[in-house]
Formats: sequence, C-alpha cells, structure tokens
Amino acid sequence: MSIDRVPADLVDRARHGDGAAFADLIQPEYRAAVRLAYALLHDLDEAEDAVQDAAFKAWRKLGNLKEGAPLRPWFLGIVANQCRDIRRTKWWTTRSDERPPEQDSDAFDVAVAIDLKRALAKMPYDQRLILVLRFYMDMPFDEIAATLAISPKAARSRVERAVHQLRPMLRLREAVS
Amino acid sequence: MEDQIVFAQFHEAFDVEPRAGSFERLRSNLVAAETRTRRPAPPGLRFPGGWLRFAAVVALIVLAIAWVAVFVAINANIHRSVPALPGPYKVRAPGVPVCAGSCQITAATFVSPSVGFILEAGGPEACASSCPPQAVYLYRTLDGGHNWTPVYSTFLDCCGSGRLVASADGKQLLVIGTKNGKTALASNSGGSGGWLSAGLPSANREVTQTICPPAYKPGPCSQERLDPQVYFIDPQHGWAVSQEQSFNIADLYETTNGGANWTLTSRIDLVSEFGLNLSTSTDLTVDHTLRGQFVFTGGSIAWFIPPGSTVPQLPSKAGRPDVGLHLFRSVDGGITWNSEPVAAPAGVTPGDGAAMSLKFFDSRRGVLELVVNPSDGGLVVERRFVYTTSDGGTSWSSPIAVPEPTLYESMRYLDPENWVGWPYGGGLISTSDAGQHWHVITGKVGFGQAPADGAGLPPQMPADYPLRGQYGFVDLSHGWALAHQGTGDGLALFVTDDGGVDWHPVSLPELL
Repeated sequence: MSIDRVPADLVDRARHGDGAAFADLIQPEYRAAVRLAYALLHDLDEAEDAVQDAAFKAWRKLGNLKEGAPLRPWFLGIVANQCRDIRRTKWWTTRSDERPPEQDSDAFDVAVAIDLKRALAKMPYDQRLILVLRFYMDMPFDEIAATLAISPKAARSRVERAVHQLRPMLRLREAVS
Repeated sequence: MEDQIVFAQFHEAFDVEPRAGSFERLRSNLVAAETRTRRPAPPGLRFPGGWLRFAAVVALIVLAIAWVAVFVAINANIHRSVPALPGPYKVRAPGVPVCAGSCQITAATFVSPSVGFILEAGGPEACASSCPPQAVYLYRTLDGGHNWTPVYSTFLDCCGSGRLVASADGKQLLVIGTKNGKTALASNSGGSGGWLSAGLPSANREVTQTICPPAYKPGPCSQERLDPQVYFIDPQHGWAVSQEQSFNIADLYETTNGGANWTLTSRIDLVSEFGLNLSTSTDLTVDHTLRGQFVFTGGSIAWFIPPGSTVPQLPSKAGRPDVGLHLFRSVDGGITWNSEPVAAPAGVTPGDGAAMSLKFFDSRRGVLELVVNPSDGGLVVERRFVYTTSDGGTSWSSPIAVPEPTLYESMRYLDPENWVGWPYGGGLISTSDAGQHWHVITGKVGFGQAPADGAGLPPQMPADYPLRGQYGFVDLSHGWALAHQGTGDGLALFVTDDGGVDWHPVSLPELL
C-alpha cells in the first residue's frame, strides 16, 4: 500500500489552530478531493464548495486522525460524506446528470459519458462511491478499504458487486458501438 | 479487460481539474478562520490515574449529559444548535460598538420584546475583494439582547446581504443569503428540528445578461447574473420569480417546505401580462433585469407592483394605463393577471406617484404605501400616502396622508391599525388607528454620531438614524434599531420600550 504518511509537525501545528499548516497538509490531496467530489456531484461549483466545507470539518476532526495514519483516505472519506450530505439535501442534483461533461476533446465520447452518469445516478450512493474510488480515483483495494473503513476483502467484493450492477449498461454500449 | 474499459470510461466521463485559484481560496479561508477555530480534542482519552480517575471522568460526563438534557427541556421546540464552526465570540457590554471594521451584521429581527436574532459575518476578511464564502453565524437572544447564543452557522458570501424570516413565535427561522453569487437558503422549519440547506430551482440558476459601457465611455463588457426575486410569508412558504434567458418570460415557483422542494406554478409572459418588454433592445447598456416587486399573500392571490418608467413600456391591454398608479393582481396563482388601477391623491399627477410597498396581513386586509415625488422642478418634497383594503385589494380606501415622509424606506406595518415610521428629520411617527391620528416624536433619539468620514451611510442620511433596513417594532412600544455609535464605524443595538421616546443600548456578540 503506497500511501504517504502525514508530516507530524504540520499535523501538530494544524491541531493547534494553524490554518496555513492545515492548508499545507491537505494541499497534496486537494486535486484528488475535487475530482472525487466532481465525480459524485457532477458539478464543479458544488464540488469545490463541498471540498471547502469538508476541509473545515477535517480540520476540526484532525484530533481523530491516528498518529502515523495516512491522510489521503481519511480526508477523502470526509469529502465523500460531505458529498453524500449535499446530495441528500439538493433535489436538483439528479437533473444536472443530463448535461454533457465539461470537456473538450475530439476523441471524447459524449454519449458514453452521459450513459455512464445516468447509470451511476440510478445506483445507491455507496455503490457509486466505491466505483468512483476504484475506477476514477484509481485506488487500490487497500486504499479503498482505508477510505471506507472496511477490510480490503470487503472492498474488493463491493467493487465486484457494483461492477456487476453496472455491467448491463456497459454491455449495451459495447453492442451499440 | 473489462476493468480497463471501465477505467477508461470513468476517466472520460469525469476527467476534470480544480479551477485555478480554488485552492488558494480555500487556503485563505482556512487562514482567516484560524483565530476562530477551536483547539481540536486530543487524539484519545487516557486514564493514567487508574479507575478512580476513570470514574471521575464518567461522573463529569453524566453531569454534562444531565445539564444538556435540562437545557434542551427548557428550550424545547426553539432551535437545535448546530454551529458548524463554534468559534470564540465575545458579548460586548451594552453600548460598546462591535464590528468596527472586522465583521458585518447582515440582518437582524425581533419577534417579541425578548426574542430576537442577528446574522453576523466575522473575521478581518469580510468584504475582501474576492469575497469568498465565509462562516456566517446566527445568534439568538431570549432576554431582549442581554445574552446571545449561536444557534446556527453556515457559509455565505462575505459581502452578500442576508435576510431573516422568523415565525411569529420565533421557533422557526429562514436565512436567505448568497453563496458564490447564488441565492442560498437555510431553514429549521423542516419539521425535524435540524437545519436544511437549500437553493432555488436549478432552471433559474444561470440566467445572465451582458452589460456594456455606453459608446462614449468604451470599456469591456461584463456578464451579470439575473437574480431571482424571493418572497417568503413565513419560514416555510415562499415564492421565487426568475426570468428565463429570453428575459421576457418569468418562471414562478412556490415552496411550502423552506425551499427543499419547488413547484413551477406559472410561466408569466411579461409583455402580454404587464406590458414590459425587456428583451428587444439591441443597446447592450440596457438592463434586462425584471424590476418591480412581486407580493404574495398565501393561497392563490399574487400581486405585482410594476416598475417606473425605466424599462420600455408597450401599448398594453385595453383600458390599462401605460404610466400611472396601477397594480397587477392574480387570483389564480400567477397564471393570469389583471390591472388594478389606484386613484391618485387629490392634486397628484398619476405619473408622479409610485407604489412604495404593499403588505397583506391576511387574505383580505392590506396596506399600500405610495410615494409622490413631483416632477415639476424646484425643490423636491417627497410625500407619502397609505391606502388600505379590507376586501383583498378589490377596492382601496381614500389615500391617508403620512405627516412626514420616511427616509428611503416604507413604514413598518405591524398590523392593519398599528404603523410606525422613521421620518427623515429624526424622531418617530406612529398611529394606532390606521392613520386617523398620528403620534409624532420629534428631534434626535440619541444614537450618537455617525462615523467622521460618513462611512457606511447613504448620501444625505442624517447621523442619528438606524442602518438602512435595520430597525423594527414588535408592537407600538417595543422597537429595536442597529445604528452607528461614537465616531467609529462600530455598531450598537438600541431598544426602546416606550414607543421610541428613549432608546437604550444593549449588548451584541462579536466574532473574534
């Protein structure tokens, strides 16, 4: 498992209220956090807001981070929970799934993206999250396990189960193309 | 192999990068919040003293739980306290100004002489040029302002104006603000006792217009968001009116649960219904914003106060005056509208008058305030008149003259008979019989002096005057006002219990 450990001095300063230290602490994870939030919310504005709110929550909960534990899965777990809360309270989020992705590439298959987003929108949040962690965040099973506070074996079986749910849509796409 | 396809499809569908500067914004917010952040709890509890110390800790926890239970029982059904950032704050002694350059009080309201609320944005970053969302705190007092308790915090634009809508008993609240330029709502009226964050219907979120400088003053054009009008009659029941991108269609939405869900009830053609054409001009300096004011009374009654002559007026429905005193009323939830002419006061040219405000106390009783600014040159002396209705606006009373014009704002209409206003010259005017007799308090009320440089005051505003929009009365005796005090730009809260003869400063919380 290739997860960097947290610099102890930054953690200590952040725990004592140093906002700049906490910013330094989460900066390496910021890109991953925004990408995760975007994949779960499908809206870059909402995603950046969610990461900001999650950052403040993480700062307050920094005392819960065990000494020597990796920061990334812990922080991404808080981001994922924040996104779950946002989806619970904002009714319009399902509508934004219909918009084409904000991407400009000749090779980009817009139809695939829309189909994938629609399929994900129909899945339970936990299954959607585990698929995003595995196939978009490129996380190995042990890091998924650390993020979701489950065992690596459970992470693997949940990924397989979620892929099984998603497979009919993928097969359909392959048949069409 | 299949995994590789899934990997590729996910990356194609969601590949995105954070926008430039977004992390720097987060960093600045973290640094700004640094002084407000509570020191985190230690990683774990340890009991080196053995079981005796453990027992002491358990006893303390039991006592704390008991204390919380008593507190909850006393404050049942008032508010659940869920501050996101329970940062340190200090309650200033009565009369000691707060927010001198370090925070903003964006809204205040009282529902009784003892129960009131203020919304405060804190920190030295308030009104920074980038104006990122920052923590905004809602405080409550149960003793007329002597003590304040934070009951909610959320992230709103630091310079965005806030509004509070409280139920008559103060047990339900709605906070209306902006976040990243979009209207944001937070209410505790969802029935669970907790707070619900919400927004406006998604279809209305991105309507923009291009505003360019006039030809004689070349410069870059800018994109402006057209904000919806939001109107709530209580923390749960409200409406949002938003133009579509064509500008001449307005969508009317209604919510009955504090903004959690919105229902599209009407698409209003502004040209055919109100004679407003907001889209045809090719002049980019023209503002396409829907002016005028929608007012709702509950049920299926809705009103529209048309704007003045600042937007192009079209020849309209037969019998409708193009300019002058008229309102529009809908009795079917905003689907169809009819013009309702209002007779001008004697000696007033209809074109000189404009509706200032319209308020309904129930489905039948309401008041309409008219402001008259003669356009015949010379010194402009503003006059105010009030009309009353007791049949839902089908007919209006003769105009009732207000003895002195109130500055910038309409009067406060507490109920159909009791009204209070703040005249331009200072003092107060009030009536307890719907304007048949007036009680006039003249002179200054003793708030102190305005800032030496006039900071924060509109032009020509007298020093001894509350902040714009920041005063109110819960009855004819008990009122409150936020005002500048001393020669700095700090604020103080004043209350009166004798109808405005004497005002006393009370304490205010200030974020540190």
